[in-house]
Amino acid sequence: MDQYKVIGKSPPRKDSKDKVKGKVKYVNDINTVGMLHTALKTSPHAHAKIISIDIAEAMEKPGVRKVITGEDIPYIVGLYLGDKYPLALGKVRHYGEAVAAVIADSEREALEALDAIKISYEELSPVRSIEEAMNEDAALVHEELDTYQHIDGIYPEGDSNVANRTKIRKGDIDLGFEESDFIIEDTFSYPQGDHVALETRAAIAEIKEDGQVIITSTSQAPFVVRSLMSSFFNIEPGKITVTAPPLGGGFGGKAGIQLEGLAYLLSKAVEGKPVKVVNTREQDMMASPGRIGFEGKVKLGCKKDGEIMAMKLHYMFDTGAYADYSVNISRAAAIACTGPYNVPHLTCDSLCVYTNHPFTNAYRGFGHLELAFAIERALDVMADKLGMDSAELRKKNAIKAGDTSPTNSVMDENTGDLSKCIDRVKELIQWEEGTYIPLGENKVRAKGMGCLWKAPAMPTNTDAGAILTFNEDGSINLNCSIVEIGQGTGTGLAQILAEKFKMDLEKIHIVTDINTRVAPHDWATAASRSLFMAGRAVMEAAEDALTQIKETAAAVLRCPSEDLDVAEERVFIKDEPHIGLDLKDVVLGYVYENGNAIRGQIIGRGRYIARRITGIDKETGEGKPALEWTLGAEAVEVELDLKDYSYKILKSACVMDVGKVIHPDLARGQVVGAMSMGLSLATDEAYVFNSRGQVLNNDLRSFKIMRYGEMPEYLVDFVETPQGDGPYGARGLGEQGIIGIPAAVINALSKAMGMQLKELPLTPENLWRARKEENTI
Amino acid sequence: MISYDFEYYRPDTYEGAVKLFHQLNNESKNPLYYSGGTEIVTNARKNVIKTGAIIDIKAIPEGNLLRETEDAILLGANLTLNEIIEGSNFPLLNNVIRKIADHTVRNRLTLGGNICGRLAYREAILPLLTTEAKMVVAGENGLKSMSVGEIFDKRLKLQKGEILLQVEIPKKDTELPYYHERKEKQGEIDYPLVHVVALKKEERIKAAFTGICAFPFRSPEIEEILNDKNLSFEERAKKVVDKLPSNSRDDVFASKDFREFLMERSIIHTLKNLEGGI
Repeated sequence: MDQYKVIGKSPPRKDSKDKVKGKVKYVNDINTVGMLHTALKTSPHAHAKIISIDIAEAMEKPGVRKVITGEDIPYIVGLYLGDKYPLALGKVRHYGEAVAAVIADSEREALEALDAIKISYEELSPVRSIEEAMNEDAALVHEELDTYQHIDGIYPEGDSNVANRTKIRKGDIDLGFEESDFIIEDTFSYPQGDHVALETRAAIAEIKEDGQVIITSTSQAPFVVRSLMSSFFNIEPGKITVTAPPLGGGFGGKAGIQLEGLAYLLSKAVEGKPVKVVNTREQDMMASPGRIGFEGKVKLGCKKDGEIMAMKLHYMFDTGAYADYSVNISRAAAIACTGPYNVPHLTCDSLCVYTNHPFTNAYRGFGHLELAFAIERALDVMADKLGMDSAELRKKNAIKAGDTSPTNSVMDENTGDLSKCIDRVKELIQWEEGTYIPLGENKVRAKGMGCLWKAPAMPTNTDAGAILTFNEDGSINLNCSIVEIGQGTGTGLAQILAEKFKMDLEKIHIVTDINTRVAPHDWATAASRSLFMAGRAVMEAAEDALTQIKETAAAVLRCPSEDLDVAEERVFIKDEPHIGLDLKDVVLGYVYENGNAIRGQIIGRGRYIARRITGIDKETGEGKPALEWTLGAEAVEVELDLKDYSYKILKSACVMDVGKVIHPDLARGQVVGAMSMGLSLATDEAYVFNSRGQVLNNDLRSFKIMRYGEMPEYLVDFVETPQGDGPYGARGLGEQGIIGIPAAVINALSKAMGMQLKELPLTPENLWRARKEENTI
Repeated sequence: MISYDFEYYRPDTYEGAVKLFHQLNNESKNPLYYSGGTEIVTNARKNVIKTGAIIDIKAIPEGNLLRETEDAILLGANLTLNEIIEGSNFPLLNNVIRKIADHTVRNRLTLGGNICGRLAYREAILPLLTTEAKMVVAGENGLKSMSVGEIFDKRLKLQKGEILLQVEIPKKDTELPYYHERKEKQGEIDYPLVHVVALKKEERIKAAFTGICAFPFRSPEIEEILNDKNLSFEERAKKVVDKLPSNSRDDVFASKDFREFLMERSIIHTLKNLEGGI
């Protein structure tokens, strides 16, 4: 049954041709006359006191306008917790931290001056792991954590390395374990890495004579940048304009505030001239935030039949030297700590821990990726203990409407159907054929599963907006504030609008550069909430415009406006469709034959603000912080060489309950992209540190991401349990595809190896080592 | 971006190139010969390579030759790896260099650059070592042709200003039975942890290695072990690892222990393939 005209179809995305032909302009493509360029001097040490910085020689280099150090710009720029300066001040806390900036006439001259900056350091012993950070007598990464400003809802623990602790207490944990027949307890972990967005971060800032601050940035969150710039630097918000052109990938790494503050301060140092700051690849990996590291301790109790009775969880996140988004990642992981399962008795402490590693921020999955790794791995360990099929164990405990979440909020009728996702993913990966299939003497094929759930982690007042204006041909300009980060949400929103107008997608034009001066307010293009929330705003804007169109037409056609309908670029009387007007004659005001005109242009306005979300209780975690939950099941098939531990991922499958698929090809693209990130992260991506806390693989020669040619066969399907309040029943799907994958890979390899693996990355060497260690026990 | 200025030259003859090199060297410009540029550009960008002058040798005709004579395959050192893969008749060499970098990089990366560059792996030399190829070198006194064994020890022992112009591979050796095995950290497009290249000539196995040590090598002592039929394959593999010419590499890509584990396995596979029997 084809209920819709545009929804559920896969028209080419609006921006595809320009992207393919290289016509899209990214931030670093912008060069204007008089623009100054910059280069950053970074720290070779993981932890050191800055004794002195000598800039005299660098100032003499050709083309150099200014050399700026931390002392020149002592502003705090921490996102949620005020722990960071734009350039290190007094102390460096991680390898690769930006210490000084050169402003010069050209990028070349700025780079050339870097060597002439002489910095003397006194090395301090670095905090090199979560374990070291949590030691009673650990060195403190931030001695003055006590005094730092922070938002409500996070709880830094002074005189320690804990930047935030979120607690969940549900049911009676002791009773839960008493009632359990089987209990397992284990620790699962993985190190930090990077987003590796194709486009490195960049920002351009300029200050006009009247104090207007103009920022162009690789930002997923131009409105957050505006608001934080205002509070960090005491600028009136109305005087700040932030533009976000399309991005070459974000993955969370360009959310919050990144280089914008530094660019502004550097511009200020040169009388407001336009200044561009662009990360090199190495700086994007080291000086800007990467992906968080994780260690999760799971104690899990089950009945004989597999019913989960209790979980005691201790999650620790390696945020590195600064907290940025990570204090909220650890919080999001607490809110969703159990994974998509009904757990009656539960405690969870989720900690954001400082180390002298590079700092981290949001990364696709946002805490859910990490908790899923721990929980899904633990479930497989438990399934082995119970002698139960791990998919059955998951199905038995799958959360459903009426159950309560870890924060004790009741899962409503919008809860997706996890069991159905598990069944479908089993079909796709041919689970019933067997999850362990020997291939001769030295090879084995094995399958592993990982389920997922995710709710957006966002402020309770998160909003979105949409403005519609019209052109002479009746076509519509869609002005939403969703940044194009590769995901193609703009096309999905255009489809929603086209559907409301029952018109062709070609007649919808998307505003692509998001400019805070003219675009409607929107929180951020993050948390997989864009299609849902901006989609709702678009629907309201469409209703608003349609009402206005009908009112104009009703006057001209002399009929009640409720008798009118709009379709195929006409407004007409429903039961006499030959009587009507072309939209083009209505949308800019109707003009009678004698020249009289009425009613003027149509401007559609739509808004949406998250419904009935609350914070959570400090001691128990009680509350309703989730707008909606997307549930899903994923599985991979691997082929392992038992002799040398090399392996191939053969298949990777994902089935998610997304409510309604708006654009099947884009949805599949998001899921496949997310799965490939998960595979790459599980199999190889990780920073390697030496004993001094320096990163040894801070470039793409040595930090490898999976290549196109290494991709497995991807199998994707969707379940559609409508989200009552979602646009056409849709819910978020942007990040989710990554979440279950690392667990699925480690579960498959554990099965193939016949042992319980506990750490990423799963390089052949690490598998070999795990086997060797097992043999020596 | 490369932040510093340097001069760029593109001579048409090797005589001109060599002369220019010495001239620029006397002017303390630290000249570098430039072929594909994949290493120079990436390292100059990071300020790891600093030079005042680049001498692009790609216009030298002898360096771009790809020819077969009655008894040799002649390859210009400036040929890109892809040009060789697509045009040469030496399957072992083609299979070995197909593993270097990725297709796009192989469009630039040259045979001479791979052998003479800074990166220690220099995988293209392995088939040349096992076939005892001749290396044609241009220097101040014109051309000289030397056996690879004479001029290659861990690296090509070029005198200052000399250019590797061509390699000449004995044709009959290109038809010998061969085996090679390369192991990486995870994905295939990465540096080799171990790369073993071997062929069998007159019932003797000749083998060259890279990845395992900080340099590529062929060793008479190791070949003695490989060909010692009194020992099992496993015993030979173990013994080879004991007799490596230096410590095994231990770095961000793999530990020494894991490299040695892979090395033993690759040697066993090599013996199985070339000696057979088990």
